[in-house]
Amino acid sequence: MKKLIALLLGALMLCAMASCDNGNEENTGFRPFVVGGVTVTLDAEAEPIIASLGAYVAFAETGSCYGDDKDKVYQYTSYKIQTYSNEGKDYILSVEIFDDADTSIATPEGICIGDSAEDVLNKHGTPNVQTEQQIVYFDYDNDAKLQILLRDGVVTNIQYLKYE
Amino acid sequence: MKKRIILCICMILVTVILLGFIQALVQPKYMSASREGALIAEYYGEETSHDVLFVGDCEVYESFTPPTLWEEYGITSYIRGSAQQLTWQSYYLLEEILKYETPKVVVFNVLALKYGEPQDEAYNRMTLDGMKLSVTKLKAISASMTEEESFASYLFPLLRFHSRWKELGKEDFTYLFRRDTVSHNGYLMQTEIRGGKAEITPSPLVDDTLPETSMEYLDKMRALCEENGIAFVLIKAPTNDWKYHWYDEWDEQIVAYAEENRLKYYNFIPLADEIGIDWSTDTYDMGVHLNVYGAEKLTSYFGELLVNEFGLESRKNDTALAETWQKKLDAYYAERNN
Repeated sequence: MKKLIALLLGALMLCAMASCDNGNEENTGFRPFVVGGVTVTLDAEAEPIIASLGAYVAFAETGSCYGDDKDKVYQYTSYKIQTYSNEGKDYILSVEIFDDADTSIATPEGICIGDSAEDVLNKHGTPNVQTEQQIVYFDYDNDAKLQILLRDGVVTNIQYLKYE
Repeated sequence: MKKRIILCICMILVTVILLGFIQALVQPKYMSASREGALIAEYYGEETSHDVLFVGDCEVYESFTPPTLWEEYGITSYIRGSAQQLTWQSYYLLEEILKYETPKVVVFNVLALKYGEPQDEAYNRMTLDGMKLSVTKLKAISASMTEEESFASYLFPLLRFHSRWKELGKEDFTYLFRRDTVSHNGYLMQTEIRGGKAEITPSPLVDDTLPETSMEYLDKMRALCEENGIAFVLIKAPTNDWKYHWYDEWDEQIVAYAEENRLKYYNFIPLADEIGIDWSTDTYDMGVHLNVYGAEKLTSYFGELLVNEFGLESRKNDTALAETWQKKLDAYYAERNN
């Protein structure tokens, strides 16, 4: 009987005391993007980066379907930067190059919109995923990926982002 | 021996009651923050049946106002919506609804079709935890879990929320055994105005085909409605944000599906002007969702379709029903005009 009571109380205590905290990981994998002369590192605090980049073309703040945390997106000529918020501060979530209007915007290895899939493989090496639609490189240690979208073998979009 | 058995039973009972109490205490209440989490359970408090049932994601519970449908058309309706409700969750909610009532029309918002896999536990919880325990709920859990989640934690939420003891607040004690009503027949009111639509370029699709799994569940919903003589209607809310973007490639697939199955599909995105949506006043979050003023306009527009295309008639002559809905209208306007 005592054993049964001890077992039940023990289970109760374990339920009450256990916790599931997750810590933030520091990103040290891919070489950070440099856009507009500013280094953009995933998970870096967004405020100084956005301030250094100057005027943006468009801005939006989007909440999820619930909750108070907001994702923000700043669109510049040819690229946009998305941030996520955590405990009142914004951090870099992604950099996306979406057109070639600003030809100076490229990956750290020099891939731009309009380059070929072959150029990507030559400059970035063997990918983790390669299909007709995309070439993807993962940095598993930092939950980051470089996703290069293709159409007819030509780069149409480049995304450097955190993934869940 | 008998004494020991009785003592043992008493101990087990005390433990079960204690665990039940702790479980009720640590479960999120969704009363002040993330009120969306309270929506699914509110349906069980309904005492009258409905002509129209909406299922789907935030685009149903933020875009249509059942009190307006009653006030203008005498149509009774309920929104069984929840945050990022996945297509299989909509299907199982519909299956559950049919145990309680058989509406004339079921409306499904198509945006969630883009998700072919379970997405996020927090969203799952807001749909699944509110469902009453049933075989349908068990099937919904099974279809919805991400790899990190456990089935047992849905049956015994204490396993998931035990660590909340560190953050318990006044709300957890106030709503330990009861909940306030947060919606108006499933409509979650937003009165704030934050106008404007950001001109952000949506990210291109890697694969423009809607996922097979979500399309399968769409078809299961269609079949379920057909078996029960219910008109199944597909809609896309007029909002079209960069983050929750409805791509033309997806629209083409839904148009084709609707034609093939002789369903009505209303994409309200290109109809926003005709509906009268003013993006400077009718949204509370810069065009991601409609506020109450936008939702009322869309509901007025949709009500006319329900009358003209589906032959729904006013039930305002039913005195008992009219009394029930007058109370709902009073509560609606009390919040709207507050």
